[in-house]
Amino acid sequence: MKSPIELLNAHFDGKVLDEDEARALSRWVATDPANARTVVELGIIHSQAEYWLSVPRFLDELGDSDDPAVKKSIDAALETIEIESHRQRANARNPNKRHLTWGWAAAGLAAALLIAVLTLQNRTRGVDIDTRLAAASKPAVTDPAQIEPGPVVASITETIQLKSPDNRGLRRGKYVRRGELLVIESGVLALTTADGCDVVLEGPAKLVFEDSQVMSMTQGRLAARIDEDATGLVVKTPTARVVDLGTEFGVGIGADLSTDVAVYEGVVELYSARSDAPSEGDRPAPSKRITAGRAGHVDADGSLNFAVQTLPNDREFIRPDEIASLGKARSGSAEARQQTGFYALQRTRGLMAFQSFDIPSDGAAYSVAFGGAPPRSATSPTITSDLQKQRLYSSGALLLTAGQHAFLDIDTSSDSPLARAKLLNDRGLIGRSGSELWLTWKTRMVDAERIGDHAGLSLMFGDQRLIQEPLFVGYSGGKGLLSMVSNVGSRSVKLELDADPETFVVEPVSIDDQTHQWVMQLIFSERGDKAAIWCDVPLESIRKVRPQAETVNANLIFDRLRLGVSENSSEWLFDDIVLATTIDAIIEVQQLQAASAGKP
Amino acid sequence: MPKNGVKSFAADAHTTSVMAGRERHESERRCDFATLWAESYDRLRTYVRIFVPVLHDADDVLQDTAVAIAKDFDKYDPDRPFLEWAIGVARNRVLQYYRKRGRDRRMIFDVDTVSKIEGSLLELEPHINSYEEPLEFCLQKLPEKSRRMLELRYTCCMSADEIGVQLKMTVQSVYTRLSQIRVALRDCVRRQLQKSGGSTP
Repeated sequence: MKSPIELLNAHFDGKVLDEDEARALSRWVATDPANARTVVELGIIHSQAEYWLSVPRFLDELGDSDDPAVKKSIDAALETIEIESHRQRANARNPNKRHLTWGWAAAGLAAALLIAVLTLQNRTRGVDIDTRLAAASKPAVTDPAQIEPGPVVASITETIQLKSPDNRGLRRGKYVRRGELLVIESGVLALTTADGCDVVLEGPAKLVFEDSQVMSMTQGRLAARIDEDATGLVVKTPTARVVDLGTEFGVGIGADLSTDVAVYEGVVELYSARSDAPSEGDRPAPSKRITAGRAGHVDADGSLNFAVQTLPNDREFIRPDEIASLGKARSGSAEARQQTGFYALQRTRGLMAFQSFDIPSDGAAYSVAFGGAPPRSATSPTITSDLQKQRLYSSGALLLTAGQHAFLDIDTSSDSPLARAKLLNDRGLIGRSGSELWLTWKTRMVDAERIGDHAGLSLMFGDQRLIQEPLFVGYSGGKGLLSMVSNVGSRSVKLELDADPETFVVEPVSIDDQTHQWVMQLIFSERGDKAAIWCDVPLESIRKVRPQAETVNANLIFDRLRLGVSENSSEWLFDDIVLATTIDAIIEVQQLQAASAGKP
Repeated sequence: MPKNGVKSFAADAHTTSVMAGRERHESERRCDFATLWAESYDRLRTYVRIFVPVLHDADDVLQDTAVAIAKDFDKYDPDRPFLEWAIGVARNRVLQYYRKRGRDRRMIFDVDTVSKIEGSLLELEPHINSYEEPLEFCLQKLPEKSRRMLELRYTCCMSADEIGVQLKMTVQSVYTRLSQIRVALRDCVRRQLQKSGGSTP
């Protein structure tokens, strides 16, 4: 174990001490008053060094500096930074809050300036300078009296897994000048403009600030949140022009250069790039006003699509608040890690529905396209600890006791992911011919000795068992063997799961009290709908492994899931229900869940 | 009518006078608060930074402390040292911060230890201002590599992980090095204070 002083300093630097380390540190402080004094002395050094090297202190000194070169360099830079006015406004509201009211943008921007001036000061004292630090502020370092005329229009506030041709250049604190081309190969770059707008750029991307309010993007995706005092931000793409009218929005450029716009708050005006062409003459430029919760599109040929759609979800773009949550997640917040994991999960291509049974919200939060919270039931089932202990921060599992059942209604509205993916038939039920759907879920039987008649998951298009239940998966008939039951009219076909589907003989699988992951593939076609099931087969292997049971159902349709346990049966836990159009989407969701999971 | 009018005017004048008095009192209280807060700001910041390692969280806690103190300023007994009272308020905000964080991040010191640290802070309090000049001097005298590491930590607000990546060091080495630098700074400050004729606090 490290010395108490090292532990104390590691704590100052953000290390989360484990219980033994914390106890050792407390014991050390308690043993001698001199040790408590050391804590305070090092606390003073920590706090005051932070102040001496901080951006606010640097600016405090600005007015007092007698060095004309230093003064000129900073004055010239600050004149270009309207962020300064935000700072002054904030300080004016509370002069004693001077250190507290600094936004990240101003802090980051001024950090670069501070390093530049510190470097300059060191130079004048004949000290060799670290080139890496100086790189962030090269123009000012080279000659502070000759700062480039292109004003600073933004500063980089965060980079996440960023790869760029100039990795060292695009770093937190760097300021961006008018006309400077930002190129990123992958990852995320967050900036704040001089007008206080937060911009998040997702790579691969190429972007130029024409000025602090006009961005020209030729590749990539960006989300922007506009300060309430600073409307009028313009994003130009090869095919469109997006003008904000006080809002938060996202703009994405497709591979074919088409433009997608999503509006999260307020309103934007979407123009076709064609509207800039002289041929438009005096006619008003064609444009479409898009309000919050809606999406707009401009085709690759610049045609404005006037059919405005509802947003599939509000996290299609990485938004500025997600950047803040990512920062907290990196600082160790499990809650923020769960939040950002869920944001990423919603962006999974092919995800149709997701339910992780969030405990505090009774399943309402951290769920996609499942209506109702708690799950619909006459018997009030409970949401309890997660099936996997290291799972998400607040994720749980649905506990059903003997005789209980619960319905999970799937969103099949016209704006739902399933409707967008064209999985709904004419009646608005899942099962459109020519489509495919994958379903996965986890279960655990608490007491394998109390079997009862049946327990499992059903696909249903009404609440009546058997009649409106085309498919059931679990065990039934009191046998305790895993099976799939297909109900067509009054006829039921039961298929037991085969432990080794490669052999001719069916080897039944008995139910036990372990956690099982089920995967079902549904292929809907004119001739009949096929259902295939795997239990505990690694997701990555599913495509290479025969299903353990397969059936064809004449009319497999559903819009809800029924989770049920018969009388006299043991309690069952159900968890992590995912519907997706591909197995790859399910794999991606599982990976995101694992990445978002807290430590056990 | 005139009589009533006069009476009414007199009553209004009285009310106005009482209100003016209250406003003056309020204004004075606000002024007192602002002065005391400004005087104690550095000490309280040091106190909060000892317990809350994340800079922005510490700023939030400090801000919450300021709000709580302003709100309860009427309860403050001017005969008592302000800092002692304010530290009590700050302590509650620190504990509240850790309660909100739950299992995510725990307070590393137990109650007795917190009390001992507070005692030491109050003992050192009269000398805290004398740290400033020597510390500035000692920061300038730091070897270049140490100075650069502190700049990454404090100016660029980098985490130990990020510093490690930047300087191609392991995270553990970053923790160790930052610890050594702070201890070196403390020793340097002590020497400077001795040289300047004062005894170390």
